[in-house]
Formats: sequence, structure tokens, C-alpha cells
Amino acid sequence: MTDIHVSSPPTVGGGRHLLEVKDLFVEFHTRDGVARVINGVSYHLDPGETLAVLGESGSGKSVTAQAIMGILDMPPAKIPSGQILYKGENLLAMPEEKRRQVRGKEISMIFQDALSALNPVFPVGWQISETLRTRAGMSKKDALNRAVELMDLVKIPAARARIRDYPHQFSGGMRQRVMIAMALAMDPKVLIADEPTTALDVTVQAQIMDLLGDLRRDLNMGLILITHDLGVVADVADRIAVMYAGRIVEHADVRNVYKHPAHPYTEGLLDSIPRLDSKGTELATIKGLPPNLMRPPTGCAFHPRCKYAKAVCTTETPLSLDLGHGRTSACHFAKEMLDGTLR
Amino acid sequence: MFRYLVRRFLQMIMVFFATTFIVYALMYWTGGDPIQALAGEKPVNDVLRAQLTKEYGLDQPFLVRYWNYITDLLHGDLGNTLVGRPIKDVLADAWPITIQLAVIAIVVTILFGVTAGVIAGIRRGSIFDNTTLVLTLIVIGIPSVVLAPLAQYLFTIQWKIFPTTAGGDASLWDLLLPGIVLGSLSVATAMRLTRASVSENLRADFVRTARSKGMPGRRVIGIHVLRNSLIPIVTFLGVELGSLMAGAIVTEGVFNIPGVGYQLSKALTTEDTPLIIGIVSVLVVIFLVANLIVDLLYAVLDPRIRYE
Amino acid sequence: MSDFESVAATELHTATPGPAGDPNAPGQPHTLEVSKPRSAGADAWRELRRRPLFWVALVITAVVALMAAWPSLFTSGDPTACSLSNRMGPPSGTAIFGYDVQGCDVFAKSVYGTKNSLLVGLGAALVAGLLGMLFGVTGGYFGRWWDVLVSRVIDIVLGLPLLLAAIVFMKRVSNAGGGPNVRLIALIAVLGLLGWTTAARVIRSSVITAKQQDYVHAARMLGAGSGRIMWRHILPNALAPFIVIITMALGSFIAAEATLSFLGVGLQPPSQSWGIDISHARLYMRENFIPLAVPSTFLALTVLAFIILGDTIREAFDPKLR
Repeated sequence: MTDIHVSSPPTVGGGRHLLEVKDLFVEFHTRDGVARVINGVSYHLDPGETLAVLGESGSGKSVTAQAIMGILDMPPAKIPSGQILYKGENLLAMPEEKRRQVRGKEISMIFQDALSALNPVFPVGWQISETLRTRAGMSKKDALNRAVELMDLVKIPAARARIRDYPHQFSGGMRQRVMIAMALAMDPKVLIADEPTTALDVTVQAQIMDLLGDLRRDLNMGLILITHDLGVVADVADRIAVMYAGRIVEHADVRNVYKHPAHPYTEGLLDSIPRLDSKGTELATIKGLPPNLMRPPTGCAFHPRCKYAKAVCTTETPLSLDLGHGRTSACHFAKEMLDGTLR
Repeated sequence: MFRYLVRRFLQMIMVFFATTFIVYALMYWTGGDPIQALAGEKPVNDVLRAQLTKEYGLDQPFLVRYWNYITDLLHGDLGNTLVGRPIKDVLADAWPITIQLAVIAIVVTILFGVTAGVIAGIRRGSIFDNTTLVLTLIVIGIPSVVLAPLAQYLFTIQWKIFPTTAGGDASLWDLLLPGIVLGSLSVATAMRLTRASVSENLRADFVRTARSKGMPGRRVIGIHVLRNSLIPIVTFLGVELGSLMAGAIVTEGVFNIPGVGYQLSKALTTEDTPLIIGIVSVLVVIFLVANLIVDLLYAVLDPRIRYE
Repeated sequence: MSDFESVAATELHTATPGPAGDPNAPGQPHTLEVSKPRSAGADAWRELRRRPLFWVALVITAVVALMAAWPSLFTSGDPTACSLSNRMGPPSGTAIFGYDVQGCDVFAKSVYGTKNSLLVGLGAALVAGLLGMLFGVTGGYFGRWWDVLVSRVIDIVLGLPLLLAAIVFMKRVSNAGGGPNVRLIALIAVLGLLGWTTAARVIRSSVITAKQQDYVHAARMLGAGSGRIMWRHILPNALAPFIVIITMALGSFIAAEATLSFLGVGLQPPSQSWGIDISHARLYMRENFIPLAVPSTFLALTVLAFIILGDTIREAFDPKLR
């Protein structure tokens, strides 16, 4: 595994990363007004590492990923500023045709609900081999053989026999494996997994997570794991970026986050994970709902739900505070949180 | 799939018996004089009366007569017209023309309706979309008894682009205008159906997947979206082919095309009841068969049904 | 729109409670729109009011209704006072569109034909609506063998193309020698009997959907009887699509009447019908197009008005379609 724990803080930039999102803004223009969905998000990814992007629905984690892939519909979406650098080249400045070449070949993505994300009327073999036929110029036969290899790679049993089956004939877990095989067809350097296990049973969730972890290691890919569930990423992720209301509120090494959260929101998320050792006690939840991004709260977007909120939180938006060791937190009282002195 | 087909087939058989029974009963199960009913309002002489009684077995109970009619129908024997010509022969002459007309109508439907529907579906809310929506609404709202004479007046009398009537050995060119008129309603419906289907599929998750695989836009729409949108469109066209045969009554009458619809409207004016029953029965059967074929096609096109 | 809509649903509208959200949750950051009990209808009305097409259609239907009730308001001509000396005569005095081949006032004939068209349309829509409501509601609500029976009957009726079955039926009526009123009632009956299936299907499926909803279960547990549950809880939900279908069916029944009369099996002279006028005028259109154009315009505008009315109402109730 490559060394990632001492990488520089995302807000600073530093050396060249495989993928780097720099101060990205995304807004949606609707009939009812403008929703600022992403407000200055920065993160980076290196080969062979896993970045978990965490947050409730509405936090902007999926929109960021779709912006990286270039599959946001514009309009209504608009990217007023920011950069997405892949191998140092700004994807947002590329012409669409060049951008398209990056999709699937350099950066791939898998989605939450594999049943609806796969085309219902084509056999899985056809769908996996589609990119190989149309983009890598492989013959139909070679492409299908390669599809079988890919299905073996993601551990779909009896791959050759199932190549003509349709998505609805697979179980949920197997379908997600088909998705993964499809995403891997062109040997991408970055794989973005958008809530890959949310629709699955708990036991299957673990299998898919293990598979993703193994593939990332074996193929030396960068993996961005988008999830709302802190529990599932603990074993797989190297770093965690926690998003709230379109901002990264905390960004840190996975072990540090679990031991000492530096943002009240992260703490809230951690407290809401069910634990075996706390059986019987009531599960903590974060009170309230995420903010309406058409009319975000003043100051820190999290203040209406924060149990530590002070006067300053309602007026001033906290900057991302560098806490050393590649760790940042966007809380006025991040240091106090780490010290354990915040009340 | 087998179970699905068997179910549909049994359903069709049931509907076949029920509909033919209704048609037959409506015409022959009468309180009054069945011979008079057969002949319509014309006076019936004794020779004709005797001949009709024998031919239609009117001395037998109603259900027996229905059974004989069904078995004859299934053997392709439709009886004779009032003037003694085998109905089978009348239909044999008329079918090719009606089929040509229906094919023209379907081709027009696909060419204009489906194409416009795809464009409107992709560009929802555009000027093209809104214009075609209003235009198709107007076409749907204008009955064929208005559209057919109007088209005939404008294109054959006023501007003399097409021949006014098609006549016996009509060429493809002669049949073009009637075909377009016949197909216009289907064009409008097909356009709206295609538009709805395309714009729904464009929003589907698998489109996002195809785009994230780096597929070019034309392949995403041309293969991924269209292949899914095809399912409702093809089933619509199949059912439509069946109803076009019935819709041809007005169009063929107006343009004087000696097809099945023309024979039916002629039979209505000459009060030729056996011919009316014969044609309607065959049309009902065709309609049912078209529905069955559509069910088959549905299963072929949608793997989710095929492996039910 | 694809991504936007999915995003909008899951990520933007966080102020409205999501599937798991509790609308009364404490600490609600922003005001919620209070959910109104009849908001679907109110929203639809607000949407409808802005559509010019809706108003055009409404005005046409109002004029048509007025014309059917008091034709003398629109013309002082007499549709039956025909004189061959006026054959294909030019417009004169009351006959603003001139005379047809039999010397009848073209405009007066069309104005007086409105009544029969509308009577057939409304009557058939009423029959179809009642039958559709009856079979749809009972089939969907009671289920079991009754539902199976209803569904099979629907299959059978759908197996009969409307025009063909109507031709056979009306032929039978005319062979039996029915007078003008008998024909009118027969037309209403046959179109109604053949035209109720779509309404029944829609009502049936919305009843089945509604039946599974919690508030209906709750009402049943509170001891509400079947009739009351259907009337108070289920029918209001099925009402919007029902109105749309019946409005559009009204238009197509009027078109069917004209077609049958055109073919000679619907209304027959001396009844006034646009279909009869069209079929007669068609034969002489080379000579004079006006006698064909006038009833055609009346018929097309009327049918169109009902179709547009139905279509705009449908769009208003289902903004997704736009």
C-alpha cells in the first residue's frame, strides 16, 4: 500500500496527486431559485488509496462525484468555479470529447442501485463488453472473453454460463459485482463508488466492501467511497472526508477520526453508529434535518443542529483549520474538541 | 415465458368466442323476422326467403346456428353475400389493397410519429416539442370524417397533387394520400407515446451509467434509450395495425378504394347483412390476432417478461 | 433533467421531510409548507388557470352547450325549410354560409345539429362513466371472483373495436325500424356500453392502490363500512384521472356519432347531424366546398375542445408530464 498518511493538507495543494478537486463550487438553477450544493470542496486521491466521503443525503457528496465524472446535467447544474485535476490536467477545462475519453477509461463509477443502473434489456456480458467493443476496438468474441475474465475477477461464480443472463436474473450482490466488473473493463486508475452497498443486505455489504478493497490493492487504483454510513468504511478507508451542506467539515486519517473527531458533526455521526458494547443504551442521533440549500443558515451551516453552538457560530462561517498531519476541521472550536475541553 | 404465453392465448380464445358471439347474437338473435333482418329494409321475395332459411339454417336453434357459424368461420367459409357471391372472394380481392394502405399508414407513423417523438423527448420543453404537442393534439382531435374529405379537397381538388380517388388497380402513389390520412391519428398517438417513453428513459439510472462508461451521446440515445423505448412503441404499432383495418372504413369510403373498409361501407348502404357480419367477424379476429402477436413481441423485447 | 431531478428529490428539498423525516421534528431549521388536504386540486387549478389553451377549449364547449340548448340564439334560419330553388345558393339574409345541394340553410343545419351531437356525447359519457365507476370501484375494492369477472368482461369489450361493434349494433336497430329517438338512445347505449372500459381500468387500479394505504386501513379498523370507505376515502383519489378520461371520451363519442351517421348507420334524416351533413356535402364538394366545410368545422372544433380540455386537465394534475 502506498504511503498516504503524511500527505499534505488538501487545502494547500502540494505535490501532484492522481486526482485533485480544488475549491469546487456547484449550484443548481431551478425555478424556485439557486441552490448552492457544493461550496468550495477540495480533496485529493493517490493511486492505491481509499478516500471515504461521508455525509447525509443532501451533503453534496454524490454531486461532487458526478462533477468529477462530468455527468452532471448542465443546466440546471452550473460550476461557477473550481478545478478538477486528473494527473495535473483540469477536467473542467477539457472539451467534451476529450472529457468523454477520460470517463470509464481513467475514472470509473459505480452506483447505488445496480438493478436500475444496469440496462434491463441487454445481457450483462453485452453491457460489460460494450466499452471494450466500442472504445478499445476489440472483436465481439475477444470482448466477451474479457468480460468473462472480469466477472471472474469480481468473483461471480460460473461467469461464462451467466454471460447471456439479464440484470434482473442476478441477486443484489451479484448485480453490484456486475457493475464493478463493468466499471473495471477499461482498467481505470480511479474508481468512484457511490453508496455501493446501501441497497444490499448486511452480509453482502461486507463482501462487496472486501472486494472493493482487494481490487483497489491488486489493481493499484484510487478508490473514492461515498457513503452515509461511517460503520462500513472503517476497515477499508485510509482517509475520511466528512461533508455537510456542500462543505468538507472534517478531513483526516481514518484512525484519528474514530479516536478523536475534530468536528461536532463527525462526533454526532460516530455516536449514531450502533455498537455491540453499548447494548441497552439509547442510540444517539443528530437532531434536526440538513439545511435547505436554497436558504442556508448564516454562519456555520451546522449550528442549528450543533449541541456546542455558540454566538460566533451563527454569524461567522468557520474556515478550514489545519490541525497538522493532513488533518483539517471547519469548526470554530476544533482545537477545543480535540482537547476535550469543548462543552 | 411459457406460462405467460399460455395465459394470453387462453385469454384470446375466450375473448374470441365472446366477441363473435356478441356480433352474431346482435345480428341474428332477434325477436322479429330474421329473414327480414338479414335483408335489411328491402322486401323479401319467397325464393330469397327459402334460400336464406336454408343457407343460414334458420330453422335450427340459435346456439346450433352460432356453432355452425363459428366452425365455418374457422374453416374460412364465410358464406355468401346477399347477391350470392362468396364473401371469401370479396375479401380476397379487398385485402391486398387494405393491407397496402395499412402498411403505408404504419410506415408514415414510424417515419414521422416515432422520429418526432424521439426528438421531442430529447428536447423536452423546446419549441419543437411544444409545437408538435399542440399539432398532435389537433390531429387527435379531428375525426377522420372531417380529415379525409378535407385532405381530399385540399390535395386533390384544390392543389391537384394526388389523384382524387384511387379506384381498382391503385398504384402506391394513388394510395399515398389515403394512407397518410389513415395513419395521421396513429402518427399523433405514436409521437406522444414515443416522447413520453424517451423522456422517461432518458431519466433512467442506466443512462447515467452509460454516460459514465464514456459512451458518446448518440450511442446513449440510439442504443440504450431507444432500445428501452421501443417496447411500448412496438406494442402500440402492433395493436394499431389491427385497428387501422377498422379505421379504413371511412378513409376507403371517401377515397373510393375497393378495400375491406370500402366493402363494409358498401355493404352498409346495400343492406348486405351477411357481408357485414362476415367482414366484422374477420376484422375482430384480426384485431385479436394482432393483440396476441403484440403480446409475443412484448415478451421478445422485454427480457423481464420473457423470464417471468 | 435526469440528474437534476434525482438530485432535487434527494438532496435539495431537504426542507420538506424525506421518506424518513418527521414533519414535526423539533429543531426544524426552516418553515415547512403546511400540507393542505386538497392541495392536488388547488395546485392543478392554479396550473390550469395559466393555460390559454384551457380557456379556449372551455369557451368553445360553453358556446357548443349554449347552441345545443338554444339554437335559435345563433340563427334565425330553419334547418328544415329547404327549397330546391336555393340549390347551392350564395349567402343571403339569415343563411350566412349559403345553401347546400338541397337548398337548405348550411349554417342553420349545423347549428341545429349541435344538440344531437352533444346529447349523444353527454349521454354516452354518462353511461360510460357510471359503468366505469361501478365496475372499477367494485372490482378494485372487493377483488376475488368479482374482480376476475370484471377484468374478463373488460378484455372482451376491448376485443371489439368500437366502430365495428357500433356498426353491427346500429344496423340491428335500423333493421328493427327504430325512429329518430330510438336511434338516438341506441347510439347513446352502444357507445356507452362499449366505451366504459378505460374509465373502469383506471378507477380499478387507483382503488387497488388506495385500498392498501394506511388511512383506509385505519378507517376500516374504526368501523367504517365499505360504502363509506369507498365514497369518502377512495373515490376522491380516483377522481382526477376519471374526469380526464370521461372528458376525452365525450369528444370521441361525438366523433363516433358523426362517423356512424356519416356511414348511414347512426342518425338518419330528418334528424340533424353533422355526420349526415358531411356525408352529403362530400359528394358535391367539387361544386361547392362551403356546405362541407361548415359542419366539418363545427364537428372538429367541438371534438377538439373536449380533447384539449381533457389533455390540459391531465397535465395540470400530473406536472411530471410537462
